[in-house]
Amino acid sequence: MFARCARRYVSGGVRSRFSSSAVTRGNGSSSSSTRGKFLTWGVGVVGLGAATALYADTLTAEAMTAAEHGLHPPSYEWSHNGPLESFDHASIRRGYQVYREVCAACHSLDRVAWRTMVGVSHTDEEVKEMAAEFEYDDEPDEQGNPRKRPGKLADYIPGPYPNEEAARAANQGALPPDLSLIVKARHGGPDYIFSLLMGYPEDPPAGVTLPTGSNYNPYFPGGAIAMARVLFDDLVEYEDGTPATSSQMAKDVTTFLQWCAEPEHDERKKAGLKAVLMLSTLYLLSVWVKKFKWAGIKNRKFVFNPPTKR
Amino acid sequence: MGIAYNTRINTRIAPHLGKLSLKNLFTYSPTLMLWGGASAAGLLVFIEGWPLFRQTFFQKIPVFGSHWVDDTPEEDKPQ
Amino acid sequence: MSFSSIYKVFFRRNAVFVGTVFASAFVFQAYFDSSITKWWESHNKGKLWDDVRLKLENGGDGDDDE
Repeated sequence: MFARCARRYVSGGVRSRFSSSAVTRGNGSSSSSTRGKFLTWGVGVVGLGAATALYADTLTAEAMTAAEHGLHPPSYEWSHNGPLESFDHASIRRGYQVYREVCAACHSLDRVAWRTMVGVSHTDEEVKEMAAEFEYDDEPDEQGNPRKRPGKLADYIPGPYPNEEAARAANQGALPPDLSLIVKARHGGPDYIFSLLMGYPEDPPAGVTLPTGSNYNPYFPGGAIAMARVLFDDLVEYEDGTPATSSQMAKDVTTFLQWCAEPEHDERKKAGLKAVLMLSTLYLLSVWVKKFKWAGIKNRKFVFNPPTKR
Repeated sequence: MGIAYNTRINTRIAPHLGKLSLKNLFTYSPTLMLWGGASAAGLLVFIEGWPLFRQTFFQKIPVFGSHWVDDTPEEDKPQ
Repeated sequence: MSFSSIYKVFFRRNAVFVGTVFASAFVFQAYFDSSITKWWESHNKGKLWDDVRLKLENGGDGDDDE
């Protein structure tokens, strides 16, 4: 914009200077050719300048690059991909174990109530036991002293920190996000979560300088993430005997987190199947009815017999 | 000798409720019965999802009553 | 059964027509729902919680097939 204004100013000045002296010839051809030359040069300089600036920009890992937006995760073949596939509930169950033993040290799961897990990944008894391991605020006693009670099914899963400030203080200022809706909240969904968990290289690539207390992960926008790699082989021991490789744990916890974000998933797909079946049947029926009703009208033959002159 | 004219027409009004008289009711009774059956069927459609009616009636239907039996095990119900 | 007899039985009286619609809706929704559920459970066999719970009850050390 500035360049264009400046160019107009320059060419205007040139034109006025010429018109005062050499305009007597009157056709103004030399003036317009000089102006064209200036225009060409101006365009060339601006274009080259812009190209150089853009090229220089690509040499640094900053704006509008894969490094800034995070590496695009590959699309994995989740067992619940597809319009008719349910969650793998064994995976949800293992994923909860991984969350409880690994992620729950820093990440909360505020929007998930214990009761929602009954009949999904655990039985009634198991969830009751899991909830009772935590203490919740109870009503105060007769002297007004606060009391605690064991958790029950109606309670929500407690987080590791009492509030955001405590969470930041414990993590060098970085806030571990709540994981209830994280799969829906991140571009790439489960693929992103899985890639992020598995995407920590041994060392950051050459030339990358990280702020203190952060780790390199190419899938994280900006590349510098406060969370370190957490999943290592055999970190947990699965009750069903599944080998606890780090990718297995990442897959399970991602499935669990997707269930947290979309607890209605299975019912939704079942209802979708019913709706599509019914609506397509009704659609075909309506097509048939339309054809049936219009058949007589569309097959009419109009005959015009012009009056003959006698 | 005067002639006695009977000027009043001897009529009685049949018992009725608005336009509905006994005779009408009698004439319409087959249709009304059918409408009763139709509305009973409509009621069935709309109370189908109601647990009280499921347990009281629908589970006891001979052949496909098993559709309304909740076969979720007790341990899978939050309670 | 010819069309005219279908007409005579089901369509002639509006009460019968409406009643037929509701009665068949009642039967159909139950039948449709249970058949879809049956298909869903066989299509996703092994992934649903019912199957997983049975597997865990019958000794949890069996190999888990993804």
